[in-house]
Amino acid sequence: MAATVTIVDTTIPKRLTTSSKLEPGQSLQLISDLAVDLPPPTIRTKTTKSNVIVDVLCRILLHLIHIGYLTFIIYKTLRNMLIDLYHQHLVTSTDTEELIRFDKAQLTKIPKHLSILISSELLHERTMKEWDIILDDLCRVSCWAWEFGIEELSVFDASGELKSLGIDVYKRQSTMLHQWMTNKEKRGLKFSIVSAEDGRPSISRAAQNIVKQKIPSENIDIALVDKFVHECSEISDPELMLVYDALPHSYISLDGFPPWHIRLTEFINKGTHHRLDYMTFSSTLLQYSKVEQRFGR
Amino acid sequence: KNMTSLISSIYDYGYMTTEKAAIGILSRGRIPSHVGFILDGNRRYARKAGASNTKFGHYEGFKQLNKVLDFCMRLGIQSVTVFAFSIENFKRSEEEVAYLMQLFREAFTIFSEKNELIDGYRIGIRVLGHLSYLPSDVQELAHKVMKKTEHNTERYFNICCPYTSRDEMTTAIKENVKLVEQNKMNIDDITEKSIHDHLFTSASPPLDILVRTSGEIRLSDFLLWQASDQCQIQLLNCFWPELTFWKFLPILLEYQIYHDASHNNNNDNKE
Repeated sequence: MAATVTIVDTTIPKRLTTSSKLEPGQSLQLISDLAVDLPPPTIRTKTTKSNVIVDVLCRILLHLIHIGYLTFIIYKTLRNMLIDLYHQHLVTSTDTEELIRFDKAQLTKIPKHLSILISSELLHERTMKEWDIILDDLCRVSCWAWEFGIEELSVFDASGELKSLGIDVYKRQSTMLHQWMTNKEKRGLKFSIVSAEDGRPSISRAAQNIVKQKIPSENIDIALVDKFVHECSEISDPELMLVYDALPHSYISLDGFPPWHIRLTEFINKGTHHRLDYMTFSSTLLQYSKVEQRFGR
Repeated sequence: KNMTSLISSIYDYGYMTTEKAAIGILSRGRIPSHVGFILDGNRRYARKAGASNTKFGHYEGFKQLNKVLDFCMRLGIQSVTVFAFSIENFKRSEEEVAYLMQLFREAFTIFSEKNELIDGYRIGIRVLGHLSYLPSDVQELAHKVMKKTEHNTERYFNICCPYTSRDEMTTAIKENVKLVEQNKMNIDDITEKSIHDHLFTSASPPLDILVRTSGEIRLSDFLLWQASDQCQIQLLNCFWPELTFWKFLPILLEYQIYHDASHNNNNDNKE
């Protein structure tokens, strides 16, 4: 069966003859090497006769490759789950505060603001009961975060489902945190719930506010926009973001998180984790701190 | 000696044929329309390769960029956007900045001459960013290459230099506010869409995949708006000059397998 594509290998264009201005004091040998050194491109020429059988064969092969890759992902996920179970087993203590003290001592840096992104990929399968579990996990995480010395915790749920639960969420979280803080030195933790409407739309709102305050366009610079965007926003820029409860893949998807805030945010993918247990939480902080995790004592 | 060169040409041929076959098969599936790359790790690559100077890394990085652009075009990817130089990078040593500016001079010149890759795929080259920060002759060359390819609208190669995303968003907001000032637009017409339309990348389709090499796990002020929604952010551990088609393959597969997953959910959200 004849192939459907003919590739034309081409040679590199001739060496440069333009007199490019060099920076003073620089004599770079670049000019002659670069034009010759580039790899030849390969351009497809149009096919005159499409071979249907090759096409079908390729599609079948493609599906097989997809299945193969998915199998690989599933294998990796199962393997990581087993490793996590083993690590859980290694941890001898059940006292979370003791664990936190141990892990905290190894951290070289702690984020001021940690953001947790609940992926939307499994959204339509979530029941009210599952949202309740998520909320429970989040309240507990807020206590651990406080213990580690994190000052701000935000939760991003694109759909706004969590936000719509309203004041009850904040009450539940602050109650649990207050209980945790008994007999300890009091310190605050800022807790916010963010959704898609706080993302891109809030930037256009900030722009409208700039107009309303009659600021001339020539005076608009990055610092000014920064001020207005943060005025419209409940949260500061997160140093670290934990993404969880997603489908198993190596990419992360932000689902509409406020774009202005993520300039320097570090992202850690825990998409295969569906609960925010202590292992998930602590391993994220340790990874951020670029420290190897040591389990138990 | 003839034996070794024979073996190496057989190996090269086999490698190229496998790559062509893989591209042929993969292009039957869904192909992303817009892919972004953060070209990170050139200097560390130079150190790893034992080079005495980071210039080697940037040079190899530029060669790799051409290879990546080539296989992206062969796959059928419509827009490729690369983070070539950040406005923050001006803070680097004078020597390094001067070398990079020279690379850009040569790159823009090469692209504005008869170039088989650019002409063959009819690629429109756009240099995006705050161009006035560049040395004036580099600016001129940038405008020259953009003018030469301005009629190419099928494929885009966006070179972000010098660029930061906050600068891009600020410019878009500035233009929106200016239009309202000039009474060409109502304040209520400043929306997500109107800001999007004034971004440097507005001629390209929405960003499908953003790839960062070198193992860093942040976006460093690149395409923040575009990557914040409906985009698969892939953080690779290899250095930029090491990004071959085979390292890109799993990224492409994840896009083909999972693309529908996030899109279906987004439609649910919007209801």
